[in-house]
Amino acid sequence: MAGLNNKLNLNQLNLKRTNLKLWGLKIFAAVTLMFLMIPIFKWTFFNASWWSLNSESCHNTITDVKITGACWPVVWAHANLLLAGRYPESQIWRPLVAMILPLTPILASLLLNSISIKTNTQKNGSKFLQIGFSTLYFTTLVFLFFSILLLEGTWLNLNIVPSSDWGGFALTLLLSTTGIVFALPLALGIALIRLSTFQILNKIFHAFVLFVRGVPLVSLLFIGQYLLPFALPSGAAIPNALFRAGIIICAFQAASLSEVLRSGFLAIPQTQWEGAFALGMSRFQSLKFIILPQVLQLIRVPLINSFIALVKDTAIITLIGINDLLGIARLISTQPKWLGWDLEPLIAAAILYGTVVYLLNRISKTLDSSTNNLPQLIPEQMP
Amino acid sequence: MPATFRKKNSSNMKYKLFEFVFLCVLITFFCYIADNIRTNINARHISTGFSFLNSTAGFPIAETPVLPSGLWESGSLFHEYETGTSTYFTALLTGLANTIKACFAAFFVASTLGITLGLLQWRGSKSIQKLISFLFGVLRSTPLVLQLIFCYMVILKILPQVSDGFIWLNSIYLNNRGFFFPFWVNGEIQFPTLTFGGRNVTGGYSFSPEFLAISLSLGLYISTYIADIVCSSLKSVAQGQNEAALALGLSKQQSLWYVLAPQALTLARPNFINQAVSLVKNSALGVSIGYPELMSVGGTTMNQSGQAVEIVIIWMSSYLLINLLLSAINFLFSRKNHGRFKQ
Repeated sequence: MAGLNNKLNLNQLNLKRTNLKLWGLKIFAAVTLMFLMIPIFKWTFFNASWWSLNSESCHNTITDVKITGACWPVVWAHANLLLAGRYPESQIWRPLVAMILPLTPILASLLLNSISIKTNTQKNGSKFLQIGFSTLYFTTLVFLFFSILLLEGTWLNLNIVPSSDWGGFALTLLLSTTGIVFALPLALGIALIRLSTFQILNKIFHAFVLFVRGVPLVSLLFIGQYLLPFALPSGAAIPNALFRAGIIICAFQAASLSEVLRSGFLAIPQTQWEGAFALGMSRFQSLKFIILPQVLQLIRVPLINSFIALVKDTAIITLIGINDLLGIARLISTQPKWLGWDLEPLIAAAILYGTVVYLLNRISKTLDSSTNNLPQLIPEQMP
Repeated sequence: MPATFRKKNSSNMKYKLFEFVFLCVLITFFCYIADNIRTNINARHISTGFSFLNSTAGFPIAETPVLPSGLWESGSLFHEYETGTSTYFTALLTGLANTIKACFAAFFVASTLGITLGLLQWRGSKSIQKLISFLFGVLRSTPLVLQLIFCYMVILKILPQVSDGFIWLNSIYLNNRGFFFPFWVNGEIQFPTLTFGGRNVTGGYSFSPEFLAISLSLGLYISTYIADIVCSSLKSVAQGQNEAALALGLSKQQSLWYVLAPQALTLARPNFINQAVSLVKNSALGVSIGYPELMSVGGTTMNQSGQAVEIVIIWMSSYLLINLLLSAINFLFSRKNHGRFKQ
C-alpha cells in the first residue's frame, strides 16, 4: 500500500527530527548546567578559604575585607559542636561512644551475615540476619540504656551533664535510635489490636493512627511542649524538653510503624495461623515462633526506610529549641566572630545527615537483595 | 477484616473481658489526664473556651493575602488583618489563608517540576537519568527543614537591595523585600511603586522571600516524589499500548497525550493526592523561617493569650480537615473507578 509506505517515511523523518531535538536538549542542558555550576564552584572552591582554623582567613577585621566564597574554617573550628553539641569538650568521648553503641548490634550482625553468605550457602529460614531478632532487639535496648546513662553520668560516677547540653550529631542519632527501639513494641501492640476482633479498641487505635499521621509532626511536638506539662498532676516535676520530645517522637513513630507491621501481618496467609494452631500451639506461641519471624523477614526493608524517615524527621526538634545537629548548625553563625557564615555549617550538617541516610540505604539494598532467605509462603498443591 | 488471629474454639467471654478491662484502663487514664489539665488550668487562672477569639490581637502579621474585595470586606469578620484592631480569629484565619496560599504555590511548583522530571526520567537519555537520580538522592537524604532554611538563606543572599534591585517596565520588582507585581485591587489595577527615596516598594501584590523560599523548597522536595509517581505509572502502562498507538500513525507526543497519559493518570492519582496531603503537612515547617502560616500565628496567639488547649484544637482540626478533604477526593475517585482496570 502506498499509504503505508508514506507513513513509514514520515515516521523515519519524525525519528530524525526527534533525534535532533534530543541533541539540542542535551546541549541546552549542558550549557545551562555549566552556567549554573560556575558560580557554585567559584563559591565552594576558588574564592573559598579552606585550610585554616581562625576567622581571620575569612574576614580581615583590620581592613574589613570579606572573602566572596565559602568560609570552611567555620566548620573545622566547630567540629566538636557539630558532633556533640555543647557537651563539655573534655568529656567528648562520652557522646561519641553513646551514639555508636546502640548501633553496634545491628552493624555486627550485618557483618556476620555478610561473612556467612560468603562462607556457607545454607538457608537459614526464620532467623533475622543470623542473630535472632529478639537477641538483636534486647541487646540494642540494653546498650541504649547504657548510652543514656553514659551521657547523663550520675550512675557511672562521671561528671553530671544536664540534658540541655546534649546535642549535635550524637543527639540526632541517639534520638532516632530511641524512637525506633521504643516505638517497635508499641507499634506491634497497635498492629495486633487493629487486626484483632476487638471492635471498640480497634476503632480507638485506628483513630489514634489516623490522627497522628494526619497532622504535622511540628504540631505534635508543640503539644508535647505546651500541653504535656498541663497533663501532669499539679506539683509533679515537669520532665525536661528533650524527654517530652522523645515521648512525642516515639508516639509518632509507633503510629507509622504500626501501619508497616500491619501490612506485614496481612501478607502472611491465614493458613500459617491455622497450621500453628493445628500443631497445638497457643496464640502467643504461634505469634512468636511462626508468624513474627515471617513478618519481620517481610518488613525488614520498610523498617529501615522508616528509620531513614525518622532520622530526617528528628531535625524538626530544632523548632522547639533543642540543639540537635540542625539547631547547632544554625547557632554557630550567630556568634559575633563568625557572623554571616551561615550556609557552611548547614552544608556540613546536610553532609552528615546524607552520610547516615546513604549508609542506611545501602543496608536496606543489601537486605533487599538477600531475598533467598524468605520462607516459602505458598503451599504446594496436593497431587 | 482479614487475617484475624483467633482460635475458632476459644471462648468469646475471655475476649470480651479483656477488651472491657483495657477500655476501662484507657478511659480512667484519659479522665485522669483531663482532670489534671482542668486543675492546672484553674490553678493558673486561665479562662477556658473560645471567647478569646473575639479579643484584639496586638501582634503584626507580615503577610495578609488580598482576596477579592466582596469576600474580604473591612468591618466584617473576614476583613483583612490590621495590627491593633483585628481579633485573634482574623489572625488565625489569615494564618490559614497563608498556609493554603503556600500549599497552592508549592503544589504548582511540585507538579510542574515533577511531571517534567518524571518524563525525563522515563524517556530521557542515560546521562540525564543519572543526573536526575543524583539530584533526587541529595534532596531525599537531607531533612526538609534543613533544605527550607538553606533555601531561605540563599534567597536572602542572592536577592539585591531595593536600591539596586531588578525592575522590569516599572511594574515588576525583584529585590530582598520580595517579588512585586501589579494586582487587581478595588476594581482597578494597582502598580507597585518605589517609596522612601527608592528604599522600599509599596502597592501591587508581593511574594515575600519567606513565601518564595517555602514554595520553592517544598515544591522541589515533593517534586522528587511526584516525578517517581509519573515515571512509574507511565512504565506500568503496557508497552503494547504505545506500540499500537505508533502503529496507528500517531506521533510519539500524540501517543503520550492521547493513549498513555490518560491510563497512567488513573494509576497515579491516589499517590498524587497522597503527596498533596504530605505537602500540606510539611507546609507547617514554614514556622522555621518565620513564614506567618497557621502554625506560627497560632504559636504567637498561644504565647500572648495563654490558651494552649484551644489553639492546639484549632491546629489539629484545621490540618485534619484539609487532609480528610483531600482523602475524600481520593475515596470518591476510587469508588468511581472501582474495577475498571481489572485484568
